[in-house]
Amino acid sequence: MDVKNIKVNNLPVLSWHRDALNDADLPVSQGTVDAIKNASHPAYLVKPEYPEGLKVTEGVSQDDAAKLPWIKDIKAEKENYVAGKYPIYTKQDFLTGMGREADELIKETAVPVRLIEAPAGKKFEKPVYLHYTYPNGSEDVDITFIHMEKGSDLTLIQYLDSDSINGSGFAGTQTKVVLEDDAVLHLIKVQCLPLDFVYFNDMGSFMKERAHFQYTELVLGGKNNYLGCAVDQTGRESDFKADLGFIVSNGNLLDLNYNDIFRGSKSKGVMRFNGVMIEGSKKASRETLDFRKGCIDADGDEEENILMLGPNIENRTIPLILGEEEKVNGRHAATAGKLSEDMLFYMETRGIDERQAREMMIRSNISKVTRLIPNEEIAMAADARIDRIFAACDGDCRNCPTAH
Amino acid sequence: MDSEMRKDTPIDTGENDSGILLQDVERGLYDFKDEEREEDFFKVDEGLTPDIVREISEAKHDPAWMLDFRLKSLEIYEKLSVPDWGPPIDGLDMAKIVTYVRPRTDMKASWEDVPEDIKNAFDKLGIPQAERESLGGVGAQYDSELVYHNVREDVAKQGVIYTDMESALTGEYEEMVKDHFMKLVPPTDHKFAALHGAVWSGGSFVYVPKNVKVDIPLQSYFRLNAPGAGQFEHTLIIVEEGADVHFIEGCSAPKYNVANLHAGCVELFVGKNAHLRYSTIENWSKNMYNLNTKRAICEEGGTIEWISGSFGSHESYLYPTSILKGDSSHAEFTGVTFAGKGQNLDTGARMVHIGRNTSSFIDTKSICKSGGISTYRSCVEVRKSAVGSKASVNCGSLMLDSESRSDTVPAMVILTDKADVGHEAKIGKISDEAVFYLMSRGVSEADARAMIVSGFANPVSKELPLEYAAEMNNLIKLEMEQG
Repeated sequence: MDVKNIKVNNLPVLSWHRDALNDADLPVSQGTVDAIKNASHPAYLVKPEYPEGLKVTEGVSQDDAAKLPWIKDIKAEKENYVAGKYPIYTKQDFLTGMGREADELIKETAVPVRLIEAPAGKKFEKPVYLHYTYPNGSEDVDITFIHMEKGSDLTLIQYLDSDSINGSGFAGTQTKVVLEDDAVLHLIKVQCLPLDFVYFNDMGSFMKERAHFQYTELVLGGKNNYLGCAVDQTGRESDFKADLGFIVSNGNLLDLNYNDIFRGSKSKGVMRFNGVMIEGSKKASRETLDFRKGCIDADGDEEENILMLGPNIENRTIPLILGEEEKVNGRHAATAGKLSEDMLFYMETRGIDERQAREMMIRSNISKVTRLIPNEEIAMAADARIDRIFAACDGDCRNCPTAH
Repeated sequence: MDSEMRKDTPIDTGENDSGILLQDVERGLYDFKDEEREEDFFKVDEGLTPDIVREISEAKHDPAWMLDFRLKSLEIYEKLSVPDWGPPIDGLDMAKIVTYVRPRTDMKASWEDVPEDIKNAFDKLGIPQAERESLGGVGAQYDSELVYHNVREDVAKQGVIYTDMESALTGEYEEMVKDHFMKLVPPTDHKFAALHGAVWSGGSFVYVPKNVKVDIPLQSYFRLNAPGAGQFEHTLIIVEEGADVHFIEGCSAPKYNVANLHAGCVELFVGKNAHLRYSTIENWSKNMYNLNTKRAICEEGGTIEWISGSFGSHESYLYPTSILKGDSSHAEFTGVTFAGKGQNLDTGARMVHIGRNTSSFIDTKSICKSGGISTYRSCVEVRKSAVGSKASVNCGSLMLDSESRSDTVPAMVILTDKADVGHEAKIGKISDEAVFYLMSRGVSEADARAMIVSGFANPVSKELPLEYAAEMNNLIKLEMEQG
């Protein structure tokens, strides 16, 4: 079967090739593309309940969706490159984190788009819950476009799991979001797929004046995981907050590209990454604060904390700060390391062994994200996933039960 | 050209393809030019061919293995591509670069014997004065060759060898040179390392014997005077077990309206428990492409410290690399980069942790102004074997206006869980409150901003010998005044 490598998660500016951080390869077989193309959609979405007043339209063709005025007329001026530097090789009509080739793959699958439109001024108190259950061997892509009209307020949860513990498959989601003035959206994505799934989540967003966007992402399963997030803060005083939590299991990969572009004055962005890497895992993260000319008094902050458990781990990080505006503040901080000996000693003096200490630290890291999810069922599922990881743990990371 | 003309006349350096028009800048004492009379210099033709490489090799009386090395490097150069990730170097046309220009004079050990015009150039830069006052040895390179070299008697008596590369290569240290030359930076490393391997000329050879501590710095000064020329000096320093030395290099050139090229190479071998500090104040003129490669390797317990001030050049690629091979070896990089009008300076550092319990620290400051582009680029690589290692990176960027651009591109590659790596980066502006505070105490706004920028760069200047710190502060002042 033909397998082609899709170039995804392109770094906004190129750096040294030897560090293998300029982009990532997502291998996709023609069989997968054909299976997705021939499936009926939405294939694995458990029938959701939508609140009154929220306009949801299924089955819109990708071409028709691209012509919607709120998608077509975004004020991005199609500037999907870093001004003054290099013409980027991922130019897109609507910028997403995974980039142009992910768009092309999705176009090839011809999967229809789900439109979710929150009317102006409408505030939805209860979170909207989209639950996808992927059986073993399933292959699917799900596309959602969200339009938050002026002053609307919504929390949307997308939760992906499986009825199989050890299944394999291919699950991808793409979400494009436009927040009009004063709109508020909390978008939550939780992935609890079996450890042999290929998973990608591609997100792009445009924020207008005073829009608030909270993006919470939790990745606990999947074999090869690709996460892309691009946010264009076009409007002044727009406010973006991202929290990503993840556990990468033995032999598995997490590759991410988060890109926050500041254009509006006094725009604010905070991105926090809390992850646990288990023996034999690989991770590559690209985290960018991109201050464009005119974003006077913009403020950006990013922070990454990685707990590494096991001697055979590959942890790559490149946190970029790109600046072409003088009056901004941008900060980045990253730490990576093992559980400190002092911490372990402290715990041992209180009767907590190394295995329990590791478990506590993992739960603590992940809870920074789970506590942001207003859904007890999902929080419990996340806990259950961690339980499963530790069920057969003997405290020695080299014998990690997540190994295949 | 008189200084008034320089100040006011924009010079098209042929960089219009990349949209950069260089405004000539008054750089005080660095911008003087000495007319080079044809009869006083030997130079090869423009461009790069096997025949030109042979001609350079013959002129330098290379041993046979070196000619072979040069020709192989040229082959590698032809095969490699220019980097696609850094500042564009379309304005550099190798067919127009003269790779070897030699003054028709031998290297002198007495300052009085150096030809008058060259002596004047270095006198204006204050090199002899610096040597008199505090330095243990001085080398001065003019275009492609060293014209003056001297080492203080007390330093020489300690067994320290400080000589030019050509003397080392053709004399009693040939085997030592052969064992080390381009072993850290092989010609296959990148296109301009291969170029260096093909046409290198000049530079210094330093050998510090076991347990010898050189109390006063050794210094090399590089001056590229010929328009359209390249300078490809090679610096090779071997510091034996337990030894300690501080080496300083300074670089300058007058401004021309054609591209000049600097593709030097520095290879530093730091022995067990040895210590080497390598300081650079780079002030090439703003028509210079500075594509320099610097690398150090440390044995067990060895320490390399890089102090780097980058002020000149039109475009720069400069990332000193420290390979911490030995257990408990240590590296520090402290750098400041100031990119003004017409400059695109891509600088940073690379740390490679291989030995156990190794440690590294990077502390950099980038400043950009008047349309300058400053990119900080780094990588901390912790290999699987580097158990117990620690690395810390701290980089700050200061933008002085919105015409400029400042990017921070730091990578971390960590291949073991038994290491602690931390990184912190900040970008920001000059605080209005700080300017207001200084102005309320009678300081003008321009002086207040210059003081704040100098303070920002202080971590570098405080590590330099006094006269170099003063030079660096002068350069910052000049840059601030030129806006």
